[in-house]
Amino acid sequence: MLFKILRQYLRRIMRNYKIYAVSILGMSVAIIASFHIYHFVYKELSVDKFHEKRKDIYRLVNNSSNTNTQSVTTFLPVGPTLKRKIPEVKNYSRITTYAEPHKLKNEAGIELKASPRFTDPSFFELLNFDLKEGSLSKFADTPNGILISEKLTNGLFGSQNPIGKQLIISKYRGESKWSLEVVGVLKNIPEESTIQGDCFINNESLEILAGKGYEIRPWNYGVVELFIHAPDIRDLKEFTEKVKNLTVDEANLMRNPKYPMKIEHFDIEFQRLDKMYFHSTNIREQKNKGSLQFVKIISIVGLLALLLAISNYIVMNLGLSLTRVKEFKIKRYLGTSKKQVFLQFIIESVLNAMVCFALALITYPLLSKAIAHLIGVEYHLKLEKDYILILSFLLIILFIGFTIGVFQYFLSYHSVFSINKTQTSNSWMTKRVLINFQLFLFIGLIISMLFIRKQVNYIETKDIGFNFKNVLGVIPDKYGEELKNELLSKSYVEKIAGGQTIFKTEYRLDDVTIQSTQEKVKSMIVLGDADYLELYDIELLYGKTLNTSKLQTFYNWTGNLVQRNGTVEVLVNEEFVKRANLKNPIGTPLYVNSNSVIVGVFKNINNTPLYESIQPIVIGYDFSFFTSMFQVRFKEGYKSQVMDDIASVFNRNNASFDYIKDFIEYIDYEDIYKKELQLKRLLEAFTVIVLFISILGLVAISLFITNSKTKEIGIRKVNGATINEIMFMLNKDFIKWVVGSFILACPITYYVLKNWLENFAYKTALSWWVFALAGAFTLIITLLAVSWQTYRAAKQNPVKSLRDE
Amino acid sequence: MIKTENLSKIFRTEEVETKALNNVNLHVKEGEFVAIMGPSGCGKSTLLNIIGLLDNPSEGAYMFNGKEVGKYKEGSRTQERKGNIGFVFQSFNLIDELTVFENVELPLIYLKIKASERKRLVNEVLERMNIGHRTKHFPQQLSGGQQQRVAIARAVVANPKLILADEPTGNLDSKNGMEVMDLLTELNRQGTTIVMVTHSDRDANYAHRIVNLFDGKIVTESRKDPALV
Ligand SMILES: Nc1ncnc2c1ncn2[C@@H]1O[C@H](COP(=O)(O)OP(=O)(O)OP(=O)(O)O)[C@@H](O)[C@H]1O
Ligand SMILES: [Mg+2]
Repeated sequence: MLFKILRQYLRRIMRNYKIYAVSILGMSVAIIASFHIYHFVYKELSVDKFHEKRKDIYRLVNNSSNTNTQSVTTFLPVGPTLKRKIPEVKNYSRITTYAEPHKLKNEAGIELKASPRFTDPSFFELLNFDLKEGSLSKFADTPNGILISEKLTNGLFGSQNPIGKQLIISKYRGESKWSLEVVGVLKNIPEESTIQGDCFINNESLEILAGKGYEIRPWNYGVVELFIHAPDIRDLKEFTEKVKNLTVDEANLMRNPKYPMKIEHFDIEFQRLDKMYFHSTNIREQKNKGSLQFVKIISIVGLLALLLAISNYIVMNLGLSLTRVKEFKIKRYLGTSKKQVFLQFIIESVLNAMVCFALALITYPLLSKAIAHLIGVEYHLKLEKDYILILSFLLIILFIGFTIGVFQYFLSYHSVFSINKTQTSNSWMTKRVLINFQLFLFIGLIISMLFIRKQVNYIETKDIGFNFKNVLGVIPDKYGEELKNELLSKSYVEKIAGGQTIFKTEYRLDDVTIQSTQEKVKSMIVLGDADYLELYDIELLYGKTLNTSKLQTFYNWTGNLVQRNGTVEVLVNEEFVKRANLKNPIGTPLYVNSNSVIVGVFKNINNTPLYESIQPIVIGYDFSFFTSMFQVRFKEGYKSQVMDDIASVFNRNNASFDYIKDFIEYIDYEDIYKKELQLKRLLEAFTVIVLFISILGLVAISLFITNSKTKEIGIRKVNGATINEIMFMLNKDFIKWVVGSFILACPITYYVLKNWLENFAYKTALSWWVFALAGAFTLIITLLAVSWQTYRAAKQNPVKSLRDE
Repeated sequence: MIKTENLSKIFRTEEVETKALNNVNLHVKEGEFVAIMGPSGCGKSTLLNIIGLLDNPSEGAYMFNGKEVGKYKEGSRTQERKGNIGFVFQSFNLIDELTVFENVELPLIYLKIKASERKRLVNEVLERMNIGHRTKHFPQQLSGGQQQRVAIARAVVANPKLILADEPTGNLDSKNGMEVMDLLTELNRQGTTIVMVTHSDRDANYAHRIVNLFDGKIVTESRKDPALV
């Protein structure tokens, strides 16, 4: 039975190979695409899921009222305090968040770069980072113990046993060195982990290393990320309140009573471990973050592509069933049971699905690069590691194949099992619905793509009021003067100004007091000197720029002592003037950390990503805090040259410059709007895929329609219809469908896009012409795809069409 | 009205070359009723199609209404055919999805005649064909004879000068066949030229003239005594 069906299946494929090729091709493309998406989503969703206690472990997060970010660092004693005082807290573990690159050297002199993190031994009990060799108790007992990853072990010791070996660790900057003992080898941390690291040092060293200040004032410095194990929390809010109160009380016992910790300054929340990856958008220290929105969009898009292909596939098979019905009818007369017909549908459909699945796997190595680029993350599928993923996808495909089979069976049920011969309206109806669905999707995707492009373009070309292209920020360490001279000697360096990088993805707002009214305006305080505005091409509206000769006593970026003899001069932006409600801003006394006065007002600039609206800004150079940082403007195309020049100064001073990025800030638009660019790329690619599948579908449909209308076309031509009239008659339906789908797609995409644009403070207009363009484009594409067949049919000599009947 | 000179039609398929018509010289005057007879495959339908401007001859000349149309392109043929020639086929060739009315209306639509005028003409011709009560029916719901009358109605609705009928009675019983022949005779009497392909001697007897075709050639032509008409 099965063999017979297989043979028939092959024979039918041979006979109708064109249609099968088209339908399987369309399906394969969608399956390949959806496989990659499935792969991506699966990986994203599995991040941090390997921690067994993930639902009982929480991370402490600080909310900060005056920045747009959150922070995870907290005071060293919080963990022990909580464990001691709150019964729900069963255990805790602390780990340093910032892992500065260090040199790790073994006794044989082999040196590797590593990013050590200090942690409590309990870290490896709470979280599932497993040891390959060595013991945890040894780690706990050895204050200068270090756990290193397999990778580091291989690099440093090869096949030797690393346990008990000594390592010398040192910073790239500075001379401090100390010796560590390898107590264990850690299995490499999987990609699907938010927490990454290649070596971990016992936290006791941190307390030793941090020196005296720490021991005396541990409640003053937030240095560690804190995880607590609390399986019995009933009400997280209540728990958090308890922690807040208790921590503040405890801290105030230890702190200088003159500067007590206030509860409103300890605004914390607890984040469950399994939420760490997707719900940390604002957390400053976390590098490894997922975007739930992106995962959602990509899943929807992938699902739609798959649905589209399925609908296409069904349409084509329904078309084929024009011929199949006869076959099944004859089989019926010959005594085939309904069950057998059903089985045949199912088996064929599942076979087709398997073919497509096989194609997806075969093409994976070819396509994975392109797809990885598209999605923006590099993953490598490994059969031995990812068999669960592949298997589960296979199951999904089989299920889809099965469902399509069932669907087809019911759609052709009437035609096969009823005696009435004109029972095709049912499948015709289904076809229409499916085509409309495809066109709807297609139009919706095109509109979305056009708008995302439009928005990205808008962002890229919007006049943000200043120019940060070809500007590098340099943190000069102690070589300020030398760096400045070196750079100024180059013809391609146009200007240098002292100050911070003006563009900020994360910022804080501080209170600036208008002295006359004591009113406070929350503003961004930016350090910049007399040349700062000019360097960034910021327009000074009125007043004058800063006068650096009137500076407070401090070391400027060149390291020279500068005298101050008056109030601090500051520049403010229009937004500040507006919020402070100042009629005559020039000369207004402010208090910004010290007494200050407004000397100039500059035009508003968008110095944050365009998700955010303009904030009040105060620029000055002379507060009680300052920066040695300076900004370099250079000629287009000389970025790497300038970086080399900076590196050469560092190298000349024998200061290792392996980590140039640590000393240089460069704002890259591509980085800021990575998400949007990714989305744009993704939608473009999917529009192409959907376009491809839709065209296949349209061609197939037009093929069936013209085939089923051959006789009618002949008759009409005999009765005087011209080719154009026939084409119009055949294309008319498609035009109707496009128009119908367009009418449906417009409000829905409008709604979705409006929501999406809410992300931005600056939005492109949802212009009607983009909708019209998408509609026109779809109409043209549809007509082209359809006309290929209809023209052929319309040209056909009527004598021939009537003979064929 | 119809004049062919050494008309030939050759069909080329992959390997075989069929000479369906071989130097056919046929002359049909306006108002004539001509029957074409001959064995199956001798080229009758092919000849009718060329006369009806559905197809081009391979060789020879074809004068229709005094114009040389043998080399016309499809577009010009359609233009020439429209309103001038009506067709009746053995298998009726009605469109299943359209009602009787809509089927008959077709030629008028392509002649760009206004809807109200179309309605009048269609109803008139359907009355004449005695199926005025069936205008809203679909072809599937009619008998063979009724269907053929609809087809004839469609052929004549635009009042063409020439009607070409390819075995119009082939699918009908003798009673229905006779009715169809009576209709055609009546049309001819009103001035329509008719060229009809038939296998039936009885039907051929309605014609003024019988052309016998064999292997693509006209072998005999017999004219009925005008006195008998
Ligand atoms: N389109 C075509 N391609 C190839 N051969 C054709 C074509 N049309 C007709 N023929 C051949 O030309 C010859 C004449 O065909 P035609 O249909 O004119 O015969 P007929 O006299 O009408 O026969 P019948 O009485 O059976 O209808 C036949 O041999 C047929 O096979
Ligand atoms: Mg014939």
